[in-house]
Amino acid sequence: MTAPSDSAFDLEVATPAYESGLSRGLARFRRNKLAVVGAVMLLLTVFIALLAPWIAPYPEDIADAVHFDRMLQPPSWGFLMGTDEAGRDILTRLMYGARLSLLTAFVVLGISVVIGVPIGLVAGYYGGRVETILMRITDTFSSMPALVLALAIAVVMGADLIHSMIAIGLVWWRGFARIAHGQTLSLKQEGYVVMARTLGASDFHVMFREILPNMTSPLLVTISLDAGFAILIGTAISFLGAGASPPTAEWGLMIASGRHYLPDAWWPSLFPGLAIFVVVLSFNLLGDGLRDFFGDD
Amino acid sequence: MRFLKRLSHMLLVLVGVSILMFTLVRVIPGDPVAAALGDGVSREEIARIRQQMGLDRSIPVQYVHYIGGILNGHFGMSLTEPKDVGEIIAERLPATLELVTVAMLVAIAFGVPFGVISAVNRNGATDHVSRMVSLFGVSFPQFWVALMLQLWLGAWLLLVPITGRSGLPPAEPITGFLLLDSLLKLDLAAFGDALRHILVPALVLAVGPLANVTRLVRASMIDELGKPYIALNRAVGMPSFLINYKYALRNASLSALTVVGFLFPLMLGSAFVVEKVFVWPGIARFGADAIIANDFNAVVGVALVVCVFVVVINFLVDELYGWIDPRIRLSAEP
Amino acid sequence: MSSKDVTSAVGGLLIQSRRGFILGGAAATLLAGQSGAVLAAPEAAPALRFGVELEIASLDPIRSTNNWETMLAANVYDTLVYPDPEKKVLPWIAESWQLSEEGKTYTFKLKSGVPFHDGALVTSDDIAFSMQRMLALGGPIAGYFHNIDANKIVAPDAQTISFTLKKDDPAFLQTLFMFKIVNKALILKNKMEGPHGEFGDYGARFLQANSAGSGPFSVTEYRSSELAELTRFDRYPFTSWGPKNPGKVRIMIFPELVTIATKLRSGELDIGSVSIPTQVQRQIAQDSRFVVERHPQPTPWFVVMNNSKPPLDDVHVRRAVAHAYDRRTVIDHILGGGEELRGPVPAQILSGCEGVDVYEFNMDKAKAELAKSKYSAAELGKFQLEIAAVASSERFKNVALLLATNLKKLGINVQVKAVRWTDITAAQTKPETAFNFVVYYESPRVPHPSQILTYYSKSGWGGAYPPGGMYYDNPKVTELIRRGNGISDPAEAQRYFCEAVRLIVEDCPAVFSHIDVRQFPHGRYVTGFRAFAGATPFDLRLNTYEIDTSDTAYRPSR
Repeated sequence: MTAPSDSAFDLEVATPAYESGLSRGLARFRRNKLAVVGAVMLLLTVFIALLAPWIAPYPEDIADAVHFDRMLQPPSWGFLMGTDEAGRDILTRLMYGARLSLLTAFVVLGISVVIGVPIGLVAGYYGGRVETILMRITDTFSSMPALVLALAIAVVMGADLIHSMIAIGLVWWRGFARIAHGQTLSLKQEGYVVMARTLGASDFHVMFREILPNMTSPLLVTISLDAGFAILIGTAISFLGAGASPPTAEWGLMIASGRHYLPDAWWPSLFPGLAIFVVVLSFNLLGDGLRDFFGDD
Repeated sequence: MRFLKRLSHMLLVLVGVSILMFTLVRVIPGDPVAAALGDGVSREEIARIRQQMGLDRSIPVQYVHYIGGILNGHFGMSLTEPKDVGEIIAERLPATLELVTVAMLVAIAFGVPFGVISAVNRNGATDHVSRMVSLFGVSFPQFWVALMLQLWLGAWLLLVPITGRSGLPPAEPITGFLLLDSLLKLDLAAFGDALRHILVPALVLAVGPLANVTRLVRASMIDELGKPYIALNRAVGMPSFLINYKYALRNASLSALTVVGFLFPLMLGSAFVVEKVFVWPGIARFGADAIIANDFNAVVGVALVVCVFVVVINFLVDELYGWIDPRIRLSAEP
Repeated sequence: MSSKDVTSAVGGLLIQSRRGFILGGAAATLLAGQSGAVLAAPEAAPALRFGVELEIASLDPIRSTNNWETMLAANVYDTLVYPDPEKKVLPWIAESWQLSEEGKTYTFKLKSGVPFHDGALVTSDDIAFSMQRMLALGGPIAGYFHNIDANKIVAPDAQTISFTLKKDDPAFLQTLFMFKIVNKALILKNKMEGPHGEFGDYGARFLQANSAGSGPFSVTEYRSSELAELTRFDRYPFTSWGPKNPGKVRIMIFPELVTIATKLRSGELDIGSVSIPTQVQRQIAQDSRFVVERHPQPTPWFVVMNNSKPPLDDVHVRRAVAHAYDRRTVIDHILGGGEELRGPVPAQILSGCEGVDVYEFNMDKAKAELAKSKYSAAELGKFQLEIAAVASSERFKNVALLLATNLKKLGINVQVKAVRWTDITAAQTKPETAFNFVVYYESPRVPHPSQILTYYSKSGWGGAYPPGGMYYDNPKVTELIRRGNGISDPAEAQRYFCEAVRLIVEDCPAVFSHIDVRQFPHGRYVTGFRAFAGATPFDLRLNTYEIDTSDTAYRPSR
C-alpha cells in the first residue's frame, strides 16, 4: 500500500464518446467549462506578468523606491489596492509578484521533472537492484513533508528566493519519479518497445525516445496540478523568512511584511493572498481539465 | 514475514532521512561552534571544543556520533535558546501533536460526511458545491487563511484569542494535551480556555486536508457503490439509506484511514505556518523562528523529528490497514 | 520614586532603620513579601500587565541587554546610589560617601536595615560579593567597570565598603546605577560547579532563572519566552506602597507586536511595548480609553559604520552616506517624532557645544562628496554592502530601507538584512565580521558623555555592541576624551568633550540621526510615566506607577 502522490486526485469516471481521440478530448475539455475558466485565468496572469513594466501604475515601486510619506494608505482611486509599509503601490507590486510566482512554478517543476522523470524511467526500465535502490531513495524523499524539507534545505543554502525555488525542486521530484516509474513499468511491455529492443536499439533510445513520449499526458496533468502546489509552498517559504528578502515584491513576503500593521492596515496582507489564490486556483482548474482531456490515468 | 519486510523498509527509509539531515547539518559553511559560543572565545578554545565535539573526525565517524546523539535525544545545541534542540523539541512536541490531532479529527469529522453526501448525490447540486468548495479549499495559501481568520475573528470581532495556546497559568501536565488534561481534572474553565485557543488554528490546519478527505471519500464511495454487492442489495430491496451508510461507508472508511497516513505529512508541513501565525508553542513554531535565526541545528532537528513521525505513522497506518482488511493481508502472503 | 519619598526615606532614617532593625530579626526567619506592615495586601492591589516583544533571556542583572531585561533588573535589584534629573546622584543604599585625596578611592557608608527579598539584610559583604561576581563573570555591564581594581575592594565593617579605581573617573557614581546588589548568602546556597573556586559558578545558573535582590519587586514566576511575574516587596524601605500601586507586574512576552496591540485594545494588557509601529500607536490613541505617552529621551539613534572596511574607510564616502540620510522622513513618517541630534551625544547629556555640524539630507552634496573619494564610481558599484536592522523591529527595518534606497541612487549597493540582536552584537566584535552599517539606538545607562564617547576611540573597539564595530580612531579625539574624563569640574570637562564631538562629526564615523521620542501606548487608567528619571530605565521603576481600577476602561484579567 504505497502512499498516493501529493497531487490531488479524483477517481471520477470519464464519459466515453466515440469520435476520434483529439476531437473527443477537445469536446470533453470544452464541456468542462471550469477548465476553460482556469486556462483563461492563467493566460491573464501570464499576460499581466509579462506586461507588468508597461501596465503597472507605479513601476518604480517594485524594488528600490520608498515613499514613507505615503505609507499604509488605504485603497483609493490613486492606489487601487492601497500602499504598503514603505509607501509602495500594492497593485504594482502584485503584478511583479506574478512574475516571481510563475517563475517559481517553472523552476520547481523544471528541476523536479529533470531529476524525477529520469530516475523513475531508469528504475522502471532496468528493474532489479537499480530499481530497488532508486525507489528506496524516492521513498525516503516521499516520506518527508515537502515544506519541511524544502525549508531545511533553503535555510542551509542561505535564505534566498532562488535557493528556495531550488530547494522545493530538490524535494518535489519524488512525485514525478513515482509516476515515471509506474508508467515505465506498464509501457515497457508494449509492442513497439519490445520491437525496438529486439532491433538492437540502445537502452537510452528505448527509454527516452520510445517510452518517455508516451507518458507525456499523465506528466502534463501532474505538472499543471503541481504548479499550484509549488506556488503555495514557495510563498509559504518566503512568508516564513527563508525565501525572498525585502524589498522583493514576492507575494508571500508582502503578506509577511504587511502582517505587522494588522488589524488597522488590512490591505497589504489581503491582496497578495487573493492573488495567490487566483493563480493556484487557475492551475488547479486547468489541471482538472487536462486530466479529463487525456482520459484517466 | 510481511511485517518484518515492511519494518525493515521503514527502518531503511529512516536511515535515509537521517543521512539526508546529517548532510544538511554538516554541509553548513561557517563555524557552528564559534557561533554557538559567542564572542570572546579564542581560536584555540574553538579548536579545542571542535575536537571535543568530534567535528574534526571523518564524515562517517561524525555520522555515527550524530546518530548516537539523536538516539539519546541530543540534536545539537540551539542558537536561540541555551539548550539542546532535543530538549526543546521534547518540551514543545505535545502542543504540536494536540493541534494536529484536533485538526485531523475536524478534517475527518466533516470531510467524511461531505464525501459521502457528495458521492450519494453524485453530480447533483450538493456534489458540485462540495467539489467547488474543496477545489477552492486547496487553492488558498494556508498562512493567508490563518492571518485573515485571525484578523477577522480575533482582532475585529474579538471572538477568540488571536495567539497562544492558553490564557491561564500552566498546570501540571498529565498527557501534555491541554484539552485532555483539563477534562481529566474536571476543570471546565481550563477546558473552555484551551478549546477557544485551539479552535481557529485547528480549523485553518484542517481546511486543506478536509478538502482532500472529501474528495477521497467521495471517490472511493463511488467506487464502492458501483460494486456488484451493492446492486444486489438494491435489487433485493434493501433501503438506500442502509446501503449508503452501512455497507458502502464502512468499506469506504478504510480509505479514510489511508487518508490519515496521507494527510499527516501535509499537516505537519502546514503546521509551520499555522503555528507561526498563531504563535502556537509547538515544535513547528520553534522551527519557524529558528529559520530567521539561522539556527541550523534547530531547523534540521525539527525537520528530522517531523519526518520520523511521518514515516512511523505511515508504517502504522499501513499495518493497521492490512490488519483491518484481511483480504489485503491474506492476499499478500507469499 | 518621587523626591517626597526620598526625603521621607532619608529624613525618616531613624524610624526606618529602627523599624528595619525590629523587622530584621523577625524577618530573617520569614519568607519575603507577605509579612510586616503593609498598606495593602498584594492580592488586593492590582496587577500591572506589561506586553513586550523581546524575550527575557536571563534574570541575572549582569546579563541584562535588551530593554525589558534592563527594566526587570531595575525593579528587582537595587543600587548604591539613585539617579535624579536635577541632582544627578542621590544616596540610596549608600547613605553617604567620601572620595579620597587622589580621587580614586570611594568609601561608602551603607544604610542599615535594608532587607533582601528573603529577609536577610544588605551588608558590605553583599556589595563586595556583587562587584567581584560581576567582574569575574564578565558580560556587557561588567564592561563599564573595568576601571575598578578588583584587588582593592575593601569592606572594613558591615556598613562600609570602598572601591578603588585604576584611574579617576568623574562619572563613576553615575556608572553605579548599573551595579545591582545581589544576595550573597542566597546565591552561595544555590551555587553549582564552576571555575571560580569556592564560589563555584557564582550562582550563574541560579540567577538566570531566579532573583536574589532587594528592589521593590521580586520575581515570583518566570518562563523565558512567555512571562516574568514580579510581586511587590512590601518591606521595601524606599517607597510607601499605596492601594493603587501595583501588587504584581506581569511582563508578558508576545513575539508579535500585533498581538500586543490587540491585547492592549481588548483590555488584556495595561501597557504596550514602545516598539509598536507608530502608525498603530496613533490608531490606538484615537480610542479615548488609551493614551500614548510621548517623551523625548536622551536616546540617540545612529547608523554606525564599519570604518575599517572599504569603501567606508574613506571619509568622503562616509560623509556622502550622511548626506544621503533623510532625517526628516525618518522622524516624521517612520518614527512619528524625534528631535535633532548634533554629534554622538544628545543635548540632555552634553549641552552647549558650538560649531558642531549637521549633515543635511542633500543628494547633490552626497554626490559631490563621493566624487572626492578615492574610489571611482565603478569601484564603488562593485561593493556589496549590508545594513543590519534588528530582526523584530519594523522601525529599524524601515530606516534601513530608506537609507539603502537612497544609497542605491548614488550607485552604492546596499542590502537590508534583518538580523537578530545577539547576532549583530556578536558580529561587531571583529572588524572582518562587523556589518557595514547597523541601525540602532543608544539608551545611555550612564548619563555622562564618556559612556557614548568611549566607542569613538580604540578602547571601544570590538565591544559586543553595535558601536563596537565602528573601528574608528582619531588620536586627537582620543586625547580630548581622555582629558575631559580627567577633569572633575563639569563645565571644564564640557569644553574638551565638545571639541572632541566637533572633530568626530567632521570625521563622520557614523550617521547621527536624531533623539528619540519614546512612545508607550497604555490604558488611560495607568499613571506614573515620566520623561526622564535621570538615567534609563529608572523611569520604569514601577513601584510609583498607579492603576485606577475604578476607571471604566480598566478590565481585570478573568
